[in-house]
Amino acid sequence: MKNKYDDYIFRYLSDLLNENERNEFESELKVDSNLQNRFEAIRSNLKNIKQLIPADSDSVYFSNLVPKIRERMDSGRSRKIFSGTVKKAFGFGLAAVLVMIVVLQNGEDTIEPVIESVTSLFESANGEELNEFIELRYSDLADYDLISKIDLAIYSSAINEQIVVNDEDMYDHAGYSYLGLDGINDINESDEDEIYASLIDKKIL
Amino acid sequence: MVNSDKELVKSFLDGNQEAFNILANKFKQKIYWHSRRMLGNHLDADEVTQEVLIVMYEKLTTFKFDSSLFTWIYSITNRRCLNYIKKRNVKRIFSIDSEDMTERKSDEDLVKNFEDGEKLEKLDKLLKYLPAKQREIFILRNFEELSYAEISKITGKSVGGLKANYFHAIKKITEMNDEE
Repeated sequence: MKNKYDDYIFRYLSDLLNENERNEFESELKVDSNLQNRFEAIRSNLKNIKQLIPADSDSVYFSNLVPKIRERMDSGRSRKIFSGTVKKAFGFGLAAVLVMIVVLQNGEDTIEPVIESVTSLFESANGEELNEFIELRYSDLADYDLISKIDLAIYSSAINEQIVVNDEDMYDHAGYSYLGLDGINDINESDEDEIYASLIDKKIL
Repeated sequence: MVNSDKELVKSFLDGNQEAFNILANKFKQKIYWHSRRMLGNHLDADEVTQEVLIVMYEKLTTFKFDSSLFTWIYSITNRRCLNYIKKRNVKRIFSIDSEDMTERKSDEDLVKNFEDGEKLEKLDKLLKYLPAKQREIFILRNFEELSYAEISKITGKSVGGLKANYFHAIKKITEMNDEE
């Protein structure tokens, strides 16, 4: 059951209170035993979670890790699965399959931008990018940028949003949408705290 | 004998393969445990850990020491984990894999004794209920004890946004704990 002090305590622990509010909270904490009990309960719960670390983990796994990746890198270098032409053909074939999946999932009306994006992605992809994409599927060694674009194209159509498939424009490097407040950096930290606190107040966040 | 990260990176770039082994051994557990907490199972965490070490090996030439090596490695690990989660979500949407990936288990795991296994299971269960962006801030703040400024460098997100996500993360965790 939700306790009336909870949001106040969560804001304190998240550092969302300004200096005055923080001082006020700390003064109340000294005199209000209910607040004190709830604060201790929450803090101890978070501490307990932190203790959920295995005391003993498999040392053999960690000892073998570096030799294992060295072996994986060596085998990756020596393996060449596809020639350039085959890679291109495979890429276009895969694009066609992706588009078909999107059509089946969403109907023709909503997927036109996605079709264009996926097709243009393969049209514009150079040999190296296709190589990376194919290697990613087969050995999971390559970078995720290309597959991320395809995933984003599929995902955006799947949730029926007409967004432009360009993750540099729409997403930061960690994959979060700039449509949220996360990308706004032209305000100072205390303004930011105030904005977020007010959004949390209004249950917008 | 070389010790600092900077010296080790330089030495590796000069061709000393042993320097890379030292760096990899230094960071492998941190990479694994961050991935494990983010992804909720050993198989995925193992895969991401290996990928991160390979990326480290191949991309250290591009590392300029604008940030600490620790921050750089955590950024790579975190981004890989988020991509992995995104891939899992896409698979789920298309029902390519109906299995709940956080439940992906095998006999192979890092913990061998019952008590540790229970701890990990409880943690995986708790973290599973947090959306990825709340999970990352909760893990980096609670387990790694990083400041918002450090987490901001790793995730590329604003401090205000991180605070808001942390607020929601501890709120959910507390609610779940109260319900139990």
